[in-house]
Amino acid sequence: MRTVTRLYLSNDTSARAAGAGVLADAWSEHPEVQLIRISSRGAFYLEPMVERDSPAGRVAWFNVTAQDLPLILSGTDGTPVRSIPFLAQQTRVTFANFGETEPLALDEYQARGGLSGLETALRIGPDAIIEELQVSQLRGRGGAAFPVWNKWKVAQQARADQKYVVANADEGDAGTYCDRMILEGDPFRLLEGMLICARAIGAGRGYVYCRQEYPGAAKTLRAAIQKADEAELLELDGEPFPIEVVEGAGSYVCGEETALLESLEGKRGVVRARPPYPAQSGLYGSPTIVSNVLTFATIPNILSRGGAWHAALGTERSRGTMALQLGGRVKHPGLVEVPFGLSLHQILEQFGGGMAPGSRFKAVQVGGPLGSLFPASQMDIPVCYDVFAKAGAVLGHGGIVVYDHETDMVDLARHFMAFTADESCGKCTPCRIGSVRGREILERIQAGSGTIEDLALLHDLGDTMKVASLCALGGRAPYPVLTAIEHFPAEFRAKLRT
Amino acid sequence: MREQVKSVLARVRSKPPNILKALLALQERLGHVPTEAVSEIASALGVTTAQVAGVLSYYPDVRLTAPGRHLIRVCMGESCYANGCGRLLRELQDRLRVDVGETAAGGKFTLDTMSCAGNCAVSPTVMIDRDLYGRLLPSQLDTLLERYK
Amino acid sequence: MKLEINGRPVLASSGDTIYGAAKKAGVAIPGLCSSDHLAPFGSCRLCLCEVEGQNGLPASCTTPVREGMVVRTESERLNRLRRNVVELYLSEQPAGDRAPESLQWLAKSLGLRQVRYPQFSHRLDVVDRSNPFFTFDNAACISCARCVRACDEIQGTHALTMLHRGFASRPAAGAASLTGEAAGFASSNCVSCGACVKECPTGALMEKTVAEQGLPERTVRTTCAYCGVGCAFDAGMRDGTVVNMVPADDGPSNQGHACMKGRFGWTYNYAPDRLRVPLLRQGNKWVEISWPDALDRIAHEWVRLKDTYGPDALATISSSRGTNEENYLFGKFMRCVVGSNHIDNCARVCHSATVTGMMDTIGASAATNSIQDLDVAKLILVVGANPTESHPVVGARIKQAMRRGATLIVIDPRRTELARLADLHLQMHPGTNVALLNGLGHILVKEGLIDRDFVRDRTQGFKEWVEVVESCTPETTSKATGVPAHLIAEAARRYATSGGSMAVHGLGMTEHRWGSHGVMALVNLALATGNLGKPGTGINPLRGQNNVQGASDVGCLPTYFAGYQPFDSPELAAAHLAVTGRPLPTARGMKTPDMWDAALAGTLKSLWIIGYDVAQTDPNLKKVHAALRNLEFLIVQDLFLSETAKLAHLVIPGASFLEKDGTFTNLERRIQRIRKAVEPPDGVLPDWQVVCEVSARMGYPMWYGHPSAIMDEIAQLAPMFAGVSYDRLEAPEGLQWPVPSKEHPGTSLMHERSFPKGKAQFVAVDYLPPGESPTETYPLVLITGRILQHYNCGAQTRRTGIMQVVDTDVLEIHASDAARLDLHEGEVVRLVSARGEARLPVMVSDRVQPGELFTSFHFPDTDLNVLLSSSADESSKCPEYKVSTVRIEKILPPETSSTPMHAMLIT
Ligand SMILES: Nc1nc2c(c(=O)[nH]1)N[C@H]1C(S)=C(S)[C@@H](COP(=O)(O)OP(=O)(O)OC[C@H]3O[C@@H](n4cnc5c(=O)[nH]c(N)nc54)[C@H](O)[C@@H]3O)O[C@H]1N2
Ligand SMILES: Nc1nc2c(c(=O)[nH]1)N[C@H]1C(S)=C(S)[C@@H](COP(=O)(O)OP(=O)(O)OC[C@H]3O[C@@H](n4cnc5c(=O)[nH]c(N)nc54)[C@H](O)[C@@H]3O)O[C@H]1N2
Ligand SMILES: Cc1cc2nc3c(=O)[nH]c(=O)nc-3n(C[C@H](O)[C@H](O)[C@H](O)COP(=O)(O)O)c2cc1C
Ligand code: SF4
Ligand code: SF4
Ligand code: SF4
Ligand code: SF4
Ligand code: SF4
Ligand code: FES
Ligand code: FES
Ligand SMILES: [Mo]
Repeated sequence: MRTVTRLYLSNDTSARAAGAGVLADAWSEHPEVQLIRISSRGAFYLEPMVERDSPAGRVAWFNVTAQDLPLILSGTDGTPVRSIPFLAQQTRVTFANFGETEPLALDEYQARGGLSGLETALRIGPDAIIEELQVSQLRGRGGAAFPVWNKWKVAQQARADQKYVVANADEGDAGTYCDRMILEGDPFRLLEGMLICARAIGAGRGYVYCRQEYPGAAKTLRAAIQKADEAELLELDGEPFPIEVVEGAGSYVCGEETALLESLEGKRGVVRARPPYPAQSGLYGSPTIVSNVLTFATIPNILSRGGAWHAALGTERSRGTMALQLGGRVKHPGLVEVPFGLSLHQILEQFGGGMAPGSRFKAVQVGGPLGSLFPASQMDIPVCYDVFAKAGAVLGHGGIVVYDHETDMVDLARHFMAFTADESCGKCTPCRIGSVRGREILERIQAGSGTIEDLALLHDLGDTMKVASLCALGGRAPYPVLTAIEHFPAEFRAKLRT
Repeated sequence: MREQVKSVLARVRSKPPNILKALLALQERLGHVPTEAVSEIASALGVTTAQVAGVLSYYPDVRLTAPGRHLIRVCMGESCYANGCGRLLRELQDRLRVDVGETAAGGKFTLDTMSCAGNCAVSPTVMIDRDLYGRLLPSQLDTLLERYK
Repeated sequence: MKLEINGRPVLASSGDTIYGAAKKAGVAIPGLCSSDHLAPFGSCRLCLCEVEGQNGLPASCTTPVREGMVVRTESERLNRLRRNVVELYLSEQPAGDRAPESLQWLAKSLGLRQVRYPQFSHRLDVVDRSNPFFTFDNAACISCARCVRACDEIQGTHALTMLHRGFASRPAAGAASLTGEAAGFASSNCVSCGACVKECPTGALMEKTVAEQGLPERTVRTTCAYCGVGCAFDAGMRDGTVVNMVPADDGPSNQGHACMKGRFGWTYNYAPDRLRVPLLRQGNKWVEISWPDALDRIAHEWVRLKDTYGPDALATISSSRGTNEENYLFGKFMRCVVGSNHIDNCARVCHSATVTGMMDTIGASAATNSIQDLDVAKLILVVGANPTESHPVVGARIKQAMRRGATLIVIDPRRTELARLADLHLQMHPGTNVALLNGLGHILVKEGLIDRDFVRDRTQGFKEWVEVVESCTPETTSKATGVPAHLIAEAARRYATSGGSMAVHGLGMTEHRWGSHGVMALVNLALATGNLGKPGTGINPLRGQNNVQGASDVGCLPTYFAGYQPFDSPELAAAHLAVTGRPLPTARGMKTPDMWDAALAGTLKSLWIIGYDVAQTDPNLKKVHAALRNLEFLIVQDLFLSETAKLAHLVIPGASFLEKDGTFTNLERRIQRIRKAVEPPDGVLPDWQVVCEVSARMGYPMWYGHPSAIMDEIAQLAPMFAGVSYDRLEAPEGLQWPVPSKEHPGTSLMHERSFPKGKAQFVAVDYLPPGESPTETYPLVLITGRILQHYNCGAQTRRTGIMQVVDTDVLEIHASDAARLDLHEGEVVRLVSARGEARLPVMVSDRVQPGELFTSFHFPDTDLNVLLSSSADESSKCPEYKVSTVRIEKILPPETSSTPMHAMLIT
């Protein structure tokens, strides 16, 4: 009798894009292999990564090709997963299941502690849930970092026939992918977080607004919802709590909560003025909690382990862990879950492994396309909300993109402004016209016809956009551009007409 | 087409009507949303043609014209930018002799850009139909395109 | 709530924005995108302000006030930001003077001297001229979306949208722009209400009349002379002519809104074929005669006829389009000079059944509540009315009520716009109101949904009513009306339990064989549920013409004197004698249909008709025409040579509402001023002066220096107008009668504590079928009524740009009937009834049910009213316009039977 070896291979989109898909196809003909498609550990520089069980835990092979099968079956040259420094140095709490479980295996999820947060929530009731969150000091992970308990309390106290829970799975910031990983890799954690929220505020319906660029995520999540439904999880107090996945259509600003709600209603994804805030009047005018996927996914642990446990992690006003996502010209791109407080330098060295081969460091951008640029001299800034805010920067959704020596800063600045001009919803003047004017100025500079007055105008325009824009798209757009000019002035000046 | 429009829209009818959902469902079926169908859509949903036009023109992913047999989308996000998506895009433009948004002669490929595919850790990223490719080098494009008939 | 703005203490109410509070306190904050009529939006970013203790600069137009807030709206920093925003706006506009004035003005006041973005991209240069009344110039637009929001939030038509996004985002009508077409309005569902034009801060949307003739230099406040809503307007004047009509924000019934007709349909005033000179018939020809000759002629004929045949040989029909003063005078003329009560007005064919129905139950026949009550009603019940077309500003208000969450129930055989939007549409067969309303009553009784206290304290006759509705089970009701039983029950429950249900009704109630009964059946429901005498409730007839309420109020009725005073009142007789010097005739006069019979019988010799085209709009036209032809002397006073005027012996030109002073009373009993804005053509006399002149020539001089003196006399003789006078009417809100004294503020809500007769009366009525039912020869039921774009006989609207939108009556037919009869869109058919035939083009429509047809009566060529019978409501003589049985005949050969047409259905 031939023995069948269980091999673990990630089914995460990025793992597949890195070759896991091809690998799975190639090995599907091998009866001696039983491939288990799990979530990804997030060490993407190692993907496709194949693991097998050993008495000392999982052993892994990196950057595997189809030809590596005999090697793996023979068990040689594997690395114990536990000893991979990139993973070992992390504090995996929200992402504890990643690389371990099959995303749609509800029993595994439960076996590893899943649903106990919900159980607690059902037991202690709405007020206590919110108290627990207050103790935890959890702040929203979608960008604005608003205290979660506070928002929930507003929605809880609002009187209304209907209330909604909406998970923001638009993950628009380039350089971020942790929401996608959760949707694809641990979808029940998101659903559990949403159910806890629904329980806390008394909501009767849930939506997940998923960006269109994530077809795999939407598919997995829909399957997870069906499984949860079959397991009779989607009900509260005997009332059904249906959750629907709704896909976007390629608009970045639809990640902004009010534009998201417009889009969810099937309308133009244009930003609404606040107040009223969604927690008071959101979807179809009803109280609505819009929270980020990562935020929801963080909540089950808080309920099961207690708010104090969460508050013990991180720094003074940035509690818990943050999922940082490394990308660009870093050597080890991937997901890093650590408590707040490490410096950018530490993160890039300890986890990023330095620069990609052949690259020299130029700048790092934190917080997506609207995030500030940091030059080498500012790398000791700690990753936490308040220091970033003081520096005029944002942590955003935790995306960290590293640019190397080949980056043309003028072109990069133009790229940023062009992004805002392309993605502006067109509602408010500073962003609708200003972003195009900004792009045009940078194009002139790039073409060699810009003047020193143009740079001054760009600053004045940037200032106007920052304070006068209706939402953070126009309001943040100047930051990457102006920090590029600030830190690399020579590159701009060199292009000016004299 | 009228019948197809009708049958698709019958599936997504809701109160209040959801225009975006209806448009995406139609696009799923027809590959694009033909402008001739706008009044049909409006009356099926019980909204006005202006309301449909407003939504239709807002979302970059709702297409008014039929794409080629395959849709190539190059991610323009920052991680991909840092990893050379600009070069990839130029290469594709040269190879297919099309600009962004255009369909190559013969109707095989339509070239487009996209925003971040969440594949930043293995960037640069190109999406062809629903398949995602990462760590793509310009030199790999030929073999890649050959896979699509 | 107290706050501080720029160092000054300011009082505001919670819910105000900083912008609104500042405005009230006289602090102007720059801003282009906000409007009192629209929800907070916050797009231009000019109104930013500084709030103590708050980071950033909130937009004052979207930020609610808080107690103790300290706000600064002016500072160097704010000024610089505003300057930069205006600079951005100007950077996308055509250079120099072509930029909108409002932007140029802002630039100047903010000290912006130079735009630092010289050769940057501009707005797309597209102009949409396809609306007949206004143009849209995208180059001059700032994409503030006020127009789009106006169309959504004020008018509820959603004809506009913002298109694209980012820099390219711009407003557009319909969907034509998607294919690069500029003509968006023409192919959209725009109803040309003009709300977008009014909201536009830049003139990108502009009236064509203003574009051609220039901006107005001054305005004259007046009231629309079309429908009974009574919208207040400012007539924009330049060089002695009207260049635009803009609805007034302080107009009590319209609050700045209007409809196509009032807003743009006033240009008939300058139509080349306005009557300018009196015309005397000589054989088949008209000869122009002088004013003195014309007036002499009337006096001469009437003295002669009265002397020969007595007062019963003379009658008048007064115009519900004219002023209260004119109408009162005409009545006075009949009573004091002719000595009879043979006077009627076109309320007869309209809401006379309401008058009977409400008089017998409530004891007063006018709307119990006010238009503003639509803002507080929890539920609105629309019975046999089509407000979004017939009373468009009320229609828009109902749509606004729905936006805020009010429930809407529509009872109508047709799927009107409101029926489509409604929570419940009870689509009954025409002529079955009594059956349906009794059916609702049955549920109220059966399910104990009765307001017992109200019934006990304020009504009588409840038992009798219960006995009648007992047998009206959902099943029998459903059978008679065609409405599913569950909808009947649901409607009754919601009406009874909403916490405030307001009924509005129209001609679908009154113009029936049993119209008065229908009104009574409706009143019974309001009495049973206590929906009377409270805000947001009541029975509210949507009176039709601009002054049909007033014409009846001031006594142009054969049955009542001014103020609905019966002729047999001794006090009235004494007062009348004292004031007029003549006794008040006590015998009831002839109603309009009686006049036709009298004319045909030869006893009526002369009829004087002011502003009423009976030869087109009364039913059974063959009979009406025969009656008119049988008269010895027919006098018609009109703006145009109407169908009736064509049959006259003497035609007198009339002065339009823009050419005279006076008052109209709208459908909520509100007396409002109209003011002379322009001179009538060629010395045309207003109707009231014509009456005075003739009266004088007949030996009873009536000299009034100004219509205000006439109003003083009305106040003297009619207690419900006792407190009305022109100085009080200077206030923009006018006065709602009853106004029993000079100190009385007017009455917005009637019957709060008691009814005129003390208690209100349930009048139990049984369902009786309409005058005609389908037969093999006439298998289809024809409903007639109005459409948005045209007005009644059409004499006015057919002489405006509205013809570019609709230029024909159309026969609406259900697709299944059209298919069965092999009819195609635009095909002209012959419509045949037992009385005659009419011709009109067919339009397939989902507004009508199978077996039923609908058309309007706005074009004389249609000859529609030839089809209708003289069947009428027994007590009020209101004609049965809403039910006639007909058949459709194809006209062959088919190629000759199609006409190119402009038509537009509001759905
Ligand atoms: N645009 C425009 N506005 C006008 C006018 C105009 O000519 N044009 N005329 C003015 C005048 S004079 C008047 S009186 C008002 C009239 O205003 P409305 O009362 O709105 O007049 P209609 O359109 O004749 O009829 C109203 C509705 O009654 C419905 N109906 C017919 N039969 C029945 C029935 O048996 N039961 C019920 N429940 N409904 C039925 C019809 O389908 C129609 O929708 O409008 C005034 N405003
Ligand atoms: N088939 C059918 N027929 C109907 C109806 C229906 O629903 N169906 N509805 C009926 C109803 S409710 C009504 S109210 C009637 C309305 O029918 P009409 O009263 O005949 O029509 P209007 O168009 O209101 O006005 C009549 C005339 O008044 C003139 N006029 C306007 N202002 C003035 C003025 O200041 N002075 C003078 N001297 N003349 C002026 C106009 O030029 C016009 O010729 O139609 C009725 N006919
Ligand atoms: C332009 C813009 C884009 C945004 N995109 C996202 C997004 O993709 N995902 C997200 O969770 N939040 C996004 N946000 C933040 C949301 O508005 C909102 O603050 C967040 O979803 C709240 O969730 P949280 O409290 O869990 O952070 C965006 C905000 C702006 C201004
Ligand atoms: S400055 Fe940052 S790291 Fe330091 S305590 Fe405050 S939030 Fe934490
Ligand atoms: S800042 Fe840009 S995206 Fe945000 S509301 Fe203004 S125009 Fe829209
Ligand atoms: S005129 Fe009235 S209906 Fe037409 S687009 Fe403007 S607001 Fe809308
Ligand atoms: S047309 Fe006028 S109201 Fe409409 S967006 Fe342009 S400027 Fe604003
Ligand atoms: S709603 Fe009536 S009163 Fe107002 S503008 Fe229109 S026709 Fe005139
Ligand atoms: S930046 Fe291209 S996949 Fe994220
Ligand atoms: S007026 Fe407040 S933003 Fe325009
Ligand atoms: Mo009427």
